[in-house]
Amino acid sequence: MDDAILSITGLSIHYPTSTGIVKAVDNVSFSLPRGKVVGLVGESGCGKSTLGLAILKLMRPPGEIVAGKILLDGENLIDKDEAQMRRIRGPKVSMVFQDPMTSLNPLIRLDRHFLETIDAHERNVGKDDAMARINKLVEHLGISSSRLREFPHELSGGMRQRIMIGLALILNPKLIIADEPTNSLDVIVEAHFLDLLKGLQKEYNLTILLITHNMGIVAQLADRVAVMYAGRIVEEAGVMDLFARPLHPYTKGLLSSIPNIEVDQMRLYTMPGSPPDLTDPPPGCPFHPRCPNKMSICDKKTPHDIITDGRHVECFLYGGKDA
Amino acid sequence: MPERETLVRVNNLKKYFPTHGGLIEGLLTPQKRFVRAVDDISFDIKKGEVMGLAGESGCGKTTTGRLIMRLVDPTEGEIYFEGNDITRLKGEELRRFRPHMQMVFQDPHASLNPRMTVGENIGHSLVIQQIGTKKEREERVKEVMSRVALTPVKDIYTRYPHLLSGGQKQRVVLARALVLSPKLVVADEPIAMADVSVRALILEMMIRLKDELSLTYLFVTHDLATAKYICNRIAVMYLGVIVEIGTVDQVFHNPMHPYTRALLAAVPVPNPTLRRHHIIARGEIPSAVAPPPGCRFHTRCIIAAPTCSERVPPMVEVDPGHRVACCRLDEWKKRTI
Repeated sequence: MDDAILSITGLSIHYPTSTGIVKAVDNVSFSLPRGKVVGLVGESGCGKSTLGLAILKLMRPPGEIVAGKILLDGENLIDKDEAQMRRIRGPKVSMVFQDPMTSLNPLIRLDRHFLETIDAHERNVGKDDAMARINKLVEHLGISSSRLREFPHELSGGMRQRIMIGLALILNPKLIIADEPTNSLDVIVEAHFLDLLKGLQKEYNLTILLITHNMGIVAQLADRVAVMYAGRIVEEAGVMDLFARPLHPYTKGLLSSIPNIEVDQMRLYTMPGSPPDLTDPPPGCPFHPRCPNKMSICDKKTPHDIITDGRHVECFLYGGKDA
Repeated sequence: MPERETLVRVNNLKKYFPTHGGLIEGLLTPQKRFVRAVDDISFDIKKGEVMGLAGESGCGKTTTGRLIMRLVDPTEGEIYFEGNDITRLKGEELRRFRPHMQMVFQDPHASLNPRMTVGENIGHSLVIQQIGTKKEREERVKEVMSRVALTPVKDIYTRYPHLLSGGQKQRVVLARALVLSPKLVVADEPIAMADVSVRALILEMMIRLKDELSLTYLFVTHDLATAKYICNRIAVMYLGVIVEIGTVDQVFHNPMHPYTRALLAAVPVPNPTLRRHHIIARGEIPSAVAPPPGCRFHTRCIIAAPTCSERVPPMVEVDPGHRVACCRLDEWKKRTI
């Protein structure tokens, strides 16, 4: 992709643990086209949150990046030290976490959350100017600015999550990483929040990496989708292609195993087994023990960089056997 | 579908939980305040069906399940099981009744005893109910384990829960509920914690077991797509009351309550060609301590009229078995959303 705001190549992240090295992210390459929403989907433990955190070099210790490049507007973030990273987090890339209750400070009022954020990154901003900016943004998110004098616990869950997106936007970043942003919300509030997010994305021409396990949210919001399994991106495509014609057996299985309210289904596909233990992943393709299309090569070699019809899919069904 | 016998009947059930305010609040407001978790609901569960209870968090669906299980005592109302009033059963009587109803909890990890093996966890209720000899109990546990595909049974029987995958743990919880051969299983969000790829397996297993063992389920969930898939009938709850009840076909294809319509419209559909804009209910669920007067949904309803805050809407049967509580039914019917 030519105009990628972020491109990741060959990224691997390891967590050394007492039972062995967890390869949370294993040789992942993908990029985020500017101004698009990219859904990163996968089940718990597949490495999607770790990948999201790694973009800002925020993985929890002892996790570390052991290989790869993260290029943000052409600059490799791997080479940046902590002080340089601080200048990137917020003004350039910011994050919306899944649980606003644990991400907001319960002891300080909402306006101080914003003021501290501005204070940490911008010099010579008067308090009045800052407050004017904050009020404007918060009203734009559908919250009365008078509520900024309240503490986080005084707001409803939906409002707290809107405050979170406000904090992510206050420094005008171009890239937002949203990790399960609606996990703690009820379905109607979730729908409103997703509408708001989509509106903001268009208005500010944001690029959003939307991390979720919910295929419905991805279908409703994303332009492109990357499917992650056992630390690897197994398939990546435009949202229409992915849902109309999934290629990887895991994507196919996932899509046919979820109940769909619009369809009167007869049976759901039941995928055998469960996601692998990442300290001891199966040899070859990590999905082969659960795969209905397993071939003899699948437990011997790991598929890599297989392109078919212009689409990226890590599966020997689509070539790469001789490589 | 032929008319089925009633297994459980719930009449005017209420559960108010006292709120624990601080000392000063207690002095300032002398009368006790209550969370009206369940506030006058009536419905029945037919033998052999999957009855769904759906709604947002705080609507009272879990409390309703726990009331029927007799895990909490109702404030008012009656619960009948096969025609017998079980509302006031206590102590030894209640213990002897318990095998008829069992529960599957939401979080399999938190609901298994980590210091008991899988076999002990599943067989514990047999010990409590003093059923069979040790040998017979072990055989019964192993039989149930193979029904839920916890294989190889011999290996898993002696394993501790932390060594199992999430999907296996949920099957242990399922096996534990089934070991006493219950007639009713109350399943409270049984797949909410499971990985997406193992959810279908648990759902399909529950459907198969229902037929094999002639079970009846009360399926509590916030996920309408799952409810549509597994349930025969469904009750939609909002702030402690049932707003709409009917067969899945009636409620999903012809929803009549504005709240049901809002819920259905808000579900993110896994199909990018069906992108929707869903401004169909305002705001968020109000507090159950002081629910809005009249129709509880009127504060969020997009077709609310002034009368909605004055009158509690009665349950109206719009179709055989399809009942709705909305004052603006006639107005709503005209709209197509």
